[in-house]
Amino acid sequence: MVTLVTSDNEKFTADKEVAERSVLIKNMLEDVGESDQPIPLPNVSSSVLKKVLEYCEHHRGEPLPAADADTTQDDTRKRTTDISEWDQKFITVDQEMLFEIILAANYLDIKSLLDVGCKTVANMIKGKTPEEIRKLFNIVNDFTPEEEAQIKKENEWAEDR
Amino acid sequence: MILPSNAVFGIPKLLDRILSQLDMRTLLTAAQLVSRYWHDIITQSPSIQQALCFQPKHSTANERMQNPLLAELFEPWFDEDGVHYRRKFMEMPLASARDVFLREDATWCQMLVAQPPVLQLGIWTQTQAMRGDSHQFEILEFPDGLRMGEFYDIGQKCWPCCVRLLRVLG
Repeated sequence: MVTLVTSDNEKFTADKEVAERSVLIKNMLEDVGESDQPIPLPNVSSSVLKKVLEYCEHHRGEPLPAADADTTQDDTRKRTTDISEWDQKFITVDQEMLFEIILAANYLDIKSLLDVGCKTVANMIKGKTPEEIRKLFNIVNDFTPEEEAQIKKENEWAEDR
Repeated sequence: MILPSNAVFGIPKLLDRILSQLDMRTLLTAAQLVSRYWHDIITQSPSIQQALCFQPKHSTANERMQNPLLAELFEPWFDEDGVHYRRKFMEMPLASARDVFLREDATWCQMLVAQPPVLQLGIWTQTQAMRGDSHQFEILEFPDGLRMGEFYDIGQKCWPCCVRLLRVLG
């Protein structure tokens, strides 16, 4: 078993096999060798780690993607952004939690979870206008009206009609 | 406090990863208009530029993929049978929105028609005349990949007077 300590100082224990789906944790465990020392995760809160461990537990034993081969970019460039049914249910959380999970997956280096998170955000963007996207994510439009009009005109042909 | 969404988007690698999941239409007409930063990520990311067919993508796979957005909007050019050009012209979105499509700076002109890029195009011409049909075959080379602007012009030149077939050769 591995003990993980979150940013809000909560302790979680998990099977080594489950925790090691995080490349970060796997590397840390290799560095410290055989020891019961708890692993500090100062960038992850307990509510997020709970979700992340739930994900790792469910996908326990599945093959991990190769460390550096970034195949995801190619394989996932399909039109429909496919997420398995369980993952879809798992990632149905409020927007804040969704982005917290993405940050944690990035920090903990869990590629498949990062993928699920990014696909979910992409699905939220699809079919929306620029203004709707800005509103959804609190993004400020910093284009000048001229710049915006120019980009719009150059690409108007691609608009859904 | 920084919103978690802003923290995620603030990491270029993550925004790139998210935008890489989008279809061409959403990237061109919505995502790159969100903000300067989103626009920069889209125009500067090699993988997104390849997905948008603005930059060539050379892959070891033999299979070539048509540019799906162009294949949808410029159907007569991508129809390998090449029999119904005239009818299909009239049905093209371009026919009813010429000013939108035929702007000098419309971005479709710069798009590669397929990935990996088309390097060779064969044009087969059949001219009908009183003394019998004549045939002609011509090969055009595109060392940097065939882009839609050129392809459009070739089609426009070819089709009005005689039957011609455009075939991708390599």
